[in-house]
Amino acid sequence: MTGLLEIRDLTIALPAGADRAAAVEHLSFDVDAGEIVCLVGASGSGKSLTAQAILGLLPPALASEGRIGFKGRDMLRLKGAELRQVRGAEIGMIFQEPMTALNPLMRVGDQIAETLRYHGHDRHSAQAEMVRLLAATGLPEAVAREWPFRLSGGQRQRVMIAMAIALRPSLLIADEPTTALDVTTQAQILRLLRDIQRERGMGVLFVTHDFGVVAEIADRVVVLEAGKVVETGPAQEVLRAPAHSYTVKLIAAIPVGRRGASAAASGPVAEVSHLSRLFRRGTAGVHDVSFSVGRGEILGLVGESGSGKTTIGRCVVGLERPTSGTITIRGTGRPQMVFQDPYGSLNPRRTIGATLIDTGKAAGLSAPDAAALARVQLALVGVPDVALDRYAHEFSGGQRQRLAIARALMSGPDLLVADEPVSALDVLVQDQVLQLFERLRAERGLSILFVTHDLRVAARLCDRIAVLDRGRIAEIGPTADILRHPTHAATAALLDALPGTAWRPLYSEERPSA
Amino acid sequence: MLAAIVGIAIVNFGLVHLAPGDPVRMLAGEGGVADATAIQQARAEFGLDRPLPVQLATQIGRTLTGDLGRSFRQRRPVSDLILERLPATLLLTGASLVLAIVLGCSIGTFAALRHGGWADRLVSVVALLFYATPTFWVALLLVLVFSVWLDWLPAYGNASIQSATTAGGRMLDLLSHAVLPVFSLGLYHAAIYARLTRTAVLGVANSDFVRTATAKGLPGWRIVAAHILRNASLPVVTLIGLQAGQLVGGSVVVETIFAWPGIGRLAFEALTQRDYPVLLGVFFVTSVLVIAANVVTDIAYGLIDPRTRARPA
Amino acid sequence: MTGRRIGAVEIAAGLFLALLLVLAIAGPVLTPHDPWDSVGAPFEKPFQGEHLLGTDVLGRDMLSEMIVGVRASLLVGALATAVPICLGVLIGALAGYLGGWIDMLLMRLTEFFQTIPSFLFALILVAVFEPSLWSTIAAISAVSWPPVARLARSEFMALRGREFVEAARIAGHSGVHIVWREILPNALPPIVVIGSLMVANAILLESAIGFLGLGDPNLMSWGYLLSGGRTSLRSAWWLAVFPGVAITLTVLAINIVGDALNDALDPRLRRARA
Repeated sequence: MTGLLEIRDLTIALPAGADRAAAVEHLSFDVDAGEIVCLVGASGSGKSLTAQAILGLLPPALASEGRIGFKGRDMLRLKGAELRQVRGAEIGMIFQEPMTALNPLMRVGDQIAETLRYHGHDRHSAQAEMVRLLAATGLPEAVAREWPFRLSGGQRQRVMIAMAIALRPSLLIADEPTTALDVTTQAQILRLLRDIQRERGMGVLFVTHDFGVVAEIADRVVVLEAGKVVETGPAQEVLRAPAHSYTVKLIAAIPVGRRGASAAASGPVAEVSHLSRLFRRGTAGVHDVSFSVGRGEILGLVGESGSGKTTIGRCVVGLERPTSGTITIRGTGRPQMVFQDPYGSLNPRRTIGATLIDTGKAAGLSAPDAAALARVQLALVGVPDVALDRYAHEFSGGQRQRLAIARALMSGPDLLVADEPVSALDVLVQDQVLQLFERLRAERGLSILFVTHDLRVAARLCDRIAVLDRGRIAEIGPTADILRHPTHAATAALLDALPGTAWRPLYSEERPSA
Repeated sequence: MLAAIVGIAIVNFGLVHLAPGDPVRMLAGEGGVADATAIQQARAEFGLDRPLPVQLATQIGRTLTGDLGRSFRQRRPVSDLILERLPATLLLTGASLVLAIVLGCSIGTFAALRHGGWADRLVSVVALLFYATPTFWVALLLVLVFSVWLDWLPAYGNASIQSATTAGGRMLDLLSHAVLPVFSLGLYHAAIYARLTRTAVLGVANSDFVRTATAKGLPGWRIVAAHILRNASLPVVTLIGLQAGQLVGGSVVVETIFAWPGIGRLAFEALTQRDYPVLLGVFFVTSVLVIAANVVTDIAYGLIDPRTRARPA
Repeated sequence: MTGRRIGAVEIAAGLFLALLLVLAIAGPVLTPHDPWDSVGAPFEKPFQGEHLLGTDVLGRDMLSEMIVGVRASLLVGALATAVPICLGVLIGALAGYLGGWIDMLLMRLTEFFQTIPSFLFALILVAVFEPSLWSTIAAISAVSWPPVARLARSEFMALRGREFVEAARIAGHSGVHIVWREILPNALPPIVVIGSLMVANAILLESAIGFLGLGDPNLMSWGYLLSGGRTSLRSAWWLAVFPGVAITLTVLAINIVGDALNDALDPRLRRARA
């Protein structure tokens, strides 16, 4: 049987000066009618560019060669009206960022109806079909008259799906469609996509970096490493018994739960009691939260976005002032923070050395002492000394996160607040940074308040977790107890939505700890 | 808006009192204060013998009721002088604005859609040239070429001496007089709008939702009209509000060169004659006009962008 | 627009500005005549006699006047940019960094001054405070600061919430350190770009003020020359044309260099390099 989509020898050249000559090289794979193929790879592996190349959406600066066969046509050579007839009508596409993928100045219903209007529907049938599409994607009819900015991320992604499937295309391309969404929303969108795909027998090319998502949705898998296909096969086979060493490495890096709390926490370094932080505009906030962090303990704060976990962290380091309640810090130094975005957390106009040394001086060290300590901290986080004279942009995301940790350690704090520090990192880099946190705790007795949305990361790293639900602590206790025997509905919902648990449970009996 | 109008009244008040020399000389003119008794009289007449806060309050009150003082040169109320001249200026600035927006936006869009091509480069160079050329210099060149050398269009005033008898003839006469001033004032602004529109269209063309529209298989013209231009018009509308003041400023220069009987020329005459009540009156009226223009652009912005409507005012 | 390299046009513009700088410094030594002396008959035509660019109404050598005029025009351009940049950055930084009611108050003030007709306001200031070099600079400064303040504010607002600035706050750095070391260096590139364009704008404003006869009557500037050209346009076109060409070329060159600077400092391009 020939494929619906046949990619043969696809090469997308990168402009001169990029870190490699081609985004993808001699790429070949198929998508058959009625199957979901996941294109998996780390950031920069070329997976999104491949998806864009199919519909001719590549930036003009990127030249492509090879063949993208679709129903007897070569998509790379289609132009003008022919290409337009395929776009939207025979191949639909969904993008990663639901916040920016819709025109902010056009009503949602018009944006869906527009797709139909320019592919042969008259005004009335477009309108009627649009209403049916809203229902099919689980949106109330009233959404048609809304502006995009009034919708949540999940609703916008449903609108994107409605547009993409409006003309019953035989192929749907989904480019990381759930990456920007909360885990429970992600689960809903994945289910919706799967249902629609089954019902209509569409072929789906699903681009993702997340093996959990792959396990949920894929029939077949294509694994990319730096622009080259390293492994391809039925999802079951690749997930159970990966053949290529890179696939093995990627799967091994997925965090696995660790049972039994480590070294019993002694004497709290921070006590938060009855903390509330209310915001004027109302929904997000923190209400009457109490907990303590023991010396050498890693306490996880987990929850959906808007659950208040980040706000608690910001209160602890003093970036937010509590509306009421107290935060008592014991031990040496003010708590320091490690942020989510590795690109924003270092001053682009100062050398790493200047940043580290000034931080030491602000904590009361003399200049020579601060300089000496900066070298010590760099060694500790595993970045060579030469970093002192360099600027942030000369480092990779993982290295920047290490440098941000080094800076946080310069003032010798007992407590570190880490706000989603590994969420923006690829899984292999994430693994290394998590190891660093584990080492800092073991060697330095550092306490960490670890804010994360990712239950797998929490299960691996945290001694205890507090599950947050709309600004309140739903339950708090030893991580393994809570995640294996949740008592609160919010925890259960998070666990239920976690992708890929049937394939890789949070806690595995055979593999105690990575 | 009321606050802004009061603000301008305060600025006017400050100008009179912060300037070196006796305020009486500014308000009554050199001729009105020949001797000590005259000074006393004038001082009482302008209320300058009262405490400053009282003077300020009185002036704000007067300004709000439309009393802008008297011109001591022309011995007439300033408001009459301005009202007489206002239609000519509104015609000039209005026509220039329309010319600038229509010409600038269409050329800017055209250039952006041919980004990198020779048409884009040509537009960019021409726009930059007009942007860099002083308004008065463009005016002088236009006069030199079309009036002095070619003798196609009149260079002075807004009506011929032997006025046409029919209404249509008068209209044609007015139009022929308006061409050069309108282009002098409009071309600089057209260059500004062309540059901004080009940048805005290029920026929007790279946004995610345009990629979505492309992936939906919409025809190119539809993507440009419904998705790119609408979003690109937002910064242009903002600039129209901000540039309204510049347009008025430019009219001082252009009306002076073309002897166009508007309030810009009135301001220039007042400047050279040191007729401060007239000058400050023109400043006040034009400021109010510019503020009104900003209110209009704010409303237009709100009509285009639903997000601003959602925010509580 | 991305990836544009420095081309011949940019180099020519840079060289032209360098030439102007030399003339501004050494101009009076290089002129063939004293620009204030009558050295020929009035209204001698250009390109014909010993006076290359002709003579003006008083028989003064146009070329000498133009060369000496460079200094005043560039001086106005530089000072009437430096002053509003400092003022605007100060106001914008205060508003953006402190936020709250101070921000609201300062921004209302800024919007107000941005709305009123700036050229007319500048003319009134020059007239009220007597025409001179300094009143011209003061008037241009008074109407030029609002855009800088708005830009500086938005930069400071955005940077204030960036992670590295928050990290500096948590580390216990003083407000002075945070503003000077963390925020300002990152806010400067767009301000430098707007500054380069403001020099051009200041030169344009000076010339317009001079053209209307409100410039310093004792200072040889291009604007001053233009005021002479305005009154005798029909009889002696060159009096207005040469200073006009000089101004246009200068403003053009500054804009070209400014655009190149913009590309070089564009944060998106910088991020792409990272």
